Amino acid sequence: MTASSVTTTTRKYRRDLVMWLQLRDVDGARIGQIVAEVESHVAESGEPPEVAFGPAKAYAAQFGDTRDRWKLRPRSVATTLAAAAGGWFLADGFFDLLVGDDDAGVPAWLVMLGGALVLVAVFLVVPDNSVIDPRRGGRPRHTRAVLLAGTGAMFAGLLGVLWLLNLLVG
Amino acid sequence: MDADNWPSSWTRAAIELCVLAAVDELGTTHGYQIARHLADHGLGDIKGGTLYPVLTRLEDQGLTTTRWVEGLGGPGRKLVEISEAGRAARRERQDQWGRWTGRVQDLLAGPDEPPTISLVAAGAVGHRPTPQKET
Repeated sequence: MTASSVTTTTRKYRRDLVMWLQLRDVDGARIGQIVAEVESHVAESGEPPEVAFGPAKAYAAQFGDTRDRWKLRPRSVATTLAAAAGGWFLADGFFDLLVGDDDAGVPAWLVMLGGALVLVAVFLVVPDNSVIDPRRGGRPRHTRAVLLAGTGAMFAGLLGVLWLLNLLVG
Repeated sequence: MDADNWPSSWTRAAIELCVLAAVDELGTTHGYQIARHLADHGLGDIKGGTLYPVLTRLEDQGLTTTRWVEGLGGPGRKLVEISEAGRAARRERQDQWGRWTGRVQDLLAGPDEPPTISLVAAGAVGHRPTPQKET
């Protein structure tokens, strides 16, 4: 069985399993182990993953946080509210900057900076359980780092464009 | 019930020791081979969803060691080996299991059957109540 011949069923099972394990806050290295075990076993046995391991959600339920996922937890609520507030201030500051306005006396750039800092804090608080595949030498895929770098680069580019526009218009 | 279709509660009780013994018997092995070994010994079809959490528990207890190797164009293989602590644990648990199943067997056999040799040797029996005959 070649890597490219991994069946659609296995790919879908893998995707679902990773999602349910991440929702249960299972560590990224552990997720990588669990997924690799599934792929290896079904390749050897020829069984569909649902037959060998049961439904992805039920198999994932054996690992990590055993509490009911649908109960609201203070940390999740706080993180979501903080992310929403950070996004709001960032957008608000950006549009104020575009129209040359301020926000109740607070400079637009300061509103944007505040929003960006809140978002960075949220990214740092959210657990980084990106999948670490043990077959790739345990090298993590730094999802959070990539996300942070991407967000930073996007806003740096945006600010650069605004600065250029300001130069051209001014 | 099929010959190898044992109640799941029995499997749950015995699986950890059986997997440990299988790893000991097979040397360097992997999950699917362990499942085949257990099936070949009449323990039924042990699914991956049952087997791999057991292998993880054994590794967490330091009774086995694992490493990943490249598969031949496949998704790779997790090799499992028993550790020295695992061998010692196997001997101890196997002995305990023998005494436990001996007691169960003894109870099931009823008072008319002689107690199992292992139970007598272990001193586990000796005060077995003898049936009272009505006079």
